[in-house]
Amino acid sequence: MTLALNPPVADLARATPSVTVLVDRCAGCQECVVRCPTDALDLDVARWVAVADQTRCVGCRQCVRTCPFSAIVVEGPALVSERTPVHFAEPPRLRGDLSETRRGLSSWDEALAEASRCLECPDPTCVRGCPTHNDIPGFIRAVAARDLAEAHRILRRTTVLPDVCSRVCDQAVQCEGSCSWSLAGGTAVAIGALERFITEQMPVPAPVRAAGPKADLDVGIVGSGPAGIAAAWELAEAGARVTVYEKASMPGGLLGWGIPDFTLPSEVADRPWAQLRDAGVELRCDAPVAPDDVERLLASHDAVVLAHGAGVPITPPVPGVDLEGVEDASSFLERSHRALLAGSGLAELETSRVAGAGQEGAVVLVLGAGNTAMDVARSARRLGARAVCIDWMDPRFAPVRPDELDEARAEGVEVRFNSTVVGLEGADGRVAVARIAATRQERADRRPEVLESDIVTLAIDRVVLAMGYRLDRSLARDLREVPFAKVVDEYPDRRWLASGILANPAPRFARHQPVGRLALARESARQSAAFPRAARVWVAGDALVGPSTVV
Amino acid sequence: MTTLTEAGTAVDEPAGAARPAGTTRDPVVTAVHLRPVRRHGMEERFAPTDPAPGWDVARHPKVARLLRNRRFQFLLILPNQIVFWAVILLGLLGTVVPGLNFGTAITWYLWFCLVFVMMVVVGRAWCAMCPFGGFGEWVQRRALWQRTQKVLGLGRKLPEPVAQYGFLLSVGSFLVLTWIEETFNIAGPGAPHATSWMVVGIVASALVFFLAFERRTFCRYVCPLSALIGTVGAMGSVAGFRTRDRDVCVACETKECMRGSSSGYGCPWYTWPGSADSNLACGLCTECYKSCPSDNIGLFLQKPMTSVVAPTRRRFDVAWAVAVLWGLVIYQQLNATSVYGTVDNWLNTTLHLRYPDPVDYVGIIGLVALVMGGAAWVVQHALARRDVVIPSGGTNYLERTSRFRAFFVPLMYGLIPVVGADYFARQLPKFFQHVPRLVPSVGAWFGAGSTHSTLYRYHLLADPRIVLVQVLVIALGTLGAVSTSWKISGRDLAGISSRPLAVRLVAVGLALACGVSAGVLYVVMHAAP
Ligand code: SF4
Ligand code: SF4
Ligand code: SF4
Ligand code: SF4
Ligand code: SF4
Repeated sequence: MTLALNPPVADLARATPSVTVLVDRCAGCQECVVRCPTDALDLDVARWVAVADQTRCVGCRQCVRTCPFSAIVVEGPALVSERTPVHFAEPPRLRGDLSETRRGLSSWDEALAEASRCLECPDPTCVRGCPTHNDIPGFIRAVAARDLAEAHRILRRTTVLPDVCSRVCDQAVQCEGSCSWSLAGGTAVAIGALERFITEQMPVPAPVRAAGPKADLDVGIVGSGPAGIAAAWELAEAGARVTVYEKASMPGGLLGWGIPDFTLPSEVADRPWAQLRDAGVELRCDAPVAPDDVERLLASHDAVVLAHGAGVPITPPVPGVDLEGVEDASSFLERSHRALLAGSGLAELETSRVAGAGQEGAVVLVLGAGNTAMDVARSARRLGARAVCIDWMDPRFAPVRPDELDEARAEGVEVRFNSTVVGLEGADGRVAVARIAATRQERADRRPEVLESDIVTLAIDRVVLAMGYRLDRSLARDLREVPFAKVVDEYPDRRWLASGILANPAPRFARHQPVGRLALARESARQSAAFPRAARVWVAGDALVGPSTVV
Repeated sequence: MTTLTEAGTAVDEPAGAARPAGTTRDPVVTAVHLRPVRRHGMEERFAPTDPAPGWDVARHPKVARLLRNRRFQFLLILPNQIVFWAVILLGLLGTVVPGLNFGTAITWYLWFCLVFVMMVVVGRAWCAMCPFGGFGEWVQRRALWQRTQKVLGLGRKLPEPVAQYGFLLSVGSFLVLTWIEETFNIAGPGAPHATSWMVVGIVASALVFFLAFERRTFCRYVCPLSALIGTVGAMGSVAGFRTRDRDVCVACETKECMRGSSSGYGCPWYTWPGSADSNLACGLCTECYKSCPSDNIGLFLQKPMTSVVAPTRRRFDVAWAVAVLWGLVIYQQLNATSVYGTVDNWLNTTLHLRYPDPVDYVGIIGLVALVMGGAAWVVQHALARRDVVIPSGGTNYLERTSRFRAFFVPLMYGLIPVVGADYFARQLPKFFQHVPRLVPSVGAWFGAGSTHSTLYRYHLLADPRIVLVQVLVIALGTLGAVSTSWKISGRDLAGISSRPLAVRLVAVGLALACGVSAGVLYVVMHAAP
């Protein structure tokens, strides 16, 4: 671990952190002792209180977060070197440009420097923040040892899509938001960049088919998106015969058409399916599965996994959404993906014959400012359109990646927070004008308030609804639902509580999002999800818990 | 069972894995590598104070069920809550005759006496049912008995510069309260509304502290009764909630008894059952018992005086608390003698003060406490072995070490029984003479009670017999103190003294001297309340 001052302090007297154990409050429970990454704390057995070795303390404040009696106080700076900056491509040519905008760590030196910032926390909060719970300190240690095979082995325990996740995850509210340094008010280890570095230096190993007793199992999987990929991968490795049914003409679901190339290059997006097919997984595209077909599938397979995702777009209750020129994000993204690959412009997407609607400089209004909305807006820019995103949340609380927002703005996307569409008006049956009202939101947990008195209008040519998706339960409808695990609302899991991830107010780095609560909510949703179970039918991914992230 | 998680990863869960209801399975265990806990020396550290496993009453299934019930403590507090709101209301609205007002009658003829009995017999039994802390806690938790997650109030920590003095803050507030009580003759009992205002004052200050600070900061540091109950309660036969198997606690990675779980709050008193070595700071609130996921907490009994004698880590704040509380009770005894009356009158006219003049109050208490400290200083000066090095302690008030402390602290602990006996004996006249008044005072609600009734004038015991009982109580307390002083000095002082036997005899002598002074004073007082 490299130690340096962050932020750099001129006054050397205040330059090191100091730990104080409060008398008559410390009960000697050792919660802090077992979790201090630098072994700076010990127990004085005679007095039965914790004692600190100031010289070893790096100011990460794990002890403060984990002490059940708040009996320990740390003052002074965090001793950690500056985060290695990860560069973004300069504003690209834009029109028709599909090259990836984010760059990874560029050399081993950078990667090693970044890996050395990790404390290898004994109870790593970053792992809880990561939705798939990758062993982050584990793979970082492997990077530090230049052992990429080991790093892949560690990643493989929890994920089959490290190259994808490290590009598309919103790290600021996931792993990096809950890194100890970030919880202590500093800058997190660049976990996403390190994970990506591993996959860039050494491709993700293909699934290895284990010949074994399970070899005669035959499983059908509905859906070829991330959840379907993961299920197929596991089953293939376990030696099962796997057939995947995909309703679209190409596999990958969200990965294929949902995330544009400039975020997720097609080599990366196509990698999992290339490997799966090589491993003998049978893929049937253009094979939609209707609710009634599940029975039929069960007749030809030993088991069926429903991994169809959550793909029903949310439509706002706004007058005019049924006008021509209004569409949902997935259809827009799918078609713009094809148009961009073909090197054409917005006109390619045009089905209507209204003059001017698809011309250069047409205005695309995107409802929402999350991941998908940004993808839509940035794709529109590349098709030669102007793009305006509007989101009713306050910028402080909106679930938008800060880096993505910066990139989008640099590419000329106009993003307006604190505003919402209250009506769409058409001309000749096609959408032409949006009425936009201001909103106000004071706290993250409050619904924004619409200020009807403050309305502006905007001339537009096209509207894309990118406010999220919900789950179509029709496939799993007939299954009996039993909760996965009993979860008491409100009360956090004991180990989550003990790890200290819930103890701090939200780090600024994570956009005032209480990362621990977010992560725990995801976890509880997963575990308390009504788990539809019938003989030989399993449900996985968003199809189980509703829309979420890729991992 | 193998289940598919969101990412389709197979997760193996041992069949029937014990997992407390209402928690999610921990998904990240493979990435958690906690450092090993330190255990070396643990056995020796706690062996002298650990209660015997057979003395765990929570092993009895019925007791266990009761203790697990979240309504249990609420139901303990509720009757007291009703009584004290009645005290407030009746004190303000009821009859102005103190002996006939239910508020004053129950408070001063019965309650105060019972509190001392509970202290001596149990320990912090009163704390378990206290309506003042109970009320503050209800408000703070926004619930009467339920486990809620959001507390009301600021949740501050008591600042360390204050907290380092431990129970001395509580000793201070007891001195202040007693002074107010003497000034307005509240416990006399004086005008009933005075008792009401006193109770209102305590409830209000408790509420303020409960809203400003975390958990039971009020009880642990501020409550006027806390230090008294804590020190005298060490004689009690309830050890409190303690760990059943310390190895399990030390290995426990979640410490629900401290943090709280879905079924109970974390210890409101900042006590960890895993390291408690006396009943000093266990408020018997049952929360840890409810929270522990491993059912590793018991409610233990102990032999009387165990928490006086056994602890290997003694506290400097408790030692001073003993000295000062002893000063206070001696002041009150002196105060009731006729000689004092004469001296006091003279003082008040010369200095233009009124009763209770602070010079006497602070002077006498301070003098007695200093005499105790001085005695310890003389003993250490005369008998300490110079070649023994006192191991250095912490840097704060509670944990510093010195040769003086090494002698003063054990000597004061040895006196706890006689101090306790003295406080108890002082309540007896009011009890024996006036407790029958409770009946007419209840009658007074319906206009039936009167100062002429037989019960109003009935005494359970009268003057010479009361003194006899008081002297007996003191004798018992002295006997207890002689025994504890002998044992404590044998263990804690003999090794650091040049003449081990002498130091033990001196310790016993100090206990005897205290007992004799208190006894003589009771004879002189003639059962004055
Ligand atoms: S701040 Fe971090 S390094 Fe310092 S004592 Fe606490 S846990 Fe250990
Ligand atoms: S976690 Fe808190 S109470 Fe436990 S040993 Fe550390 S400082 Fe003491
Ligand atoms: S980038 Fe995503 S998958 Fe990787 S560690 Fe972070 S949250 Fe987990
Ligand atoms: S929390 Fe941060 S420092 Fe700790 S193990 Fe995770 S990445 Fe490393
Ligand atoms: S009493 Fe229970 S919760 Fe507390 S430390 Fe021991 S085992 Fe853990």
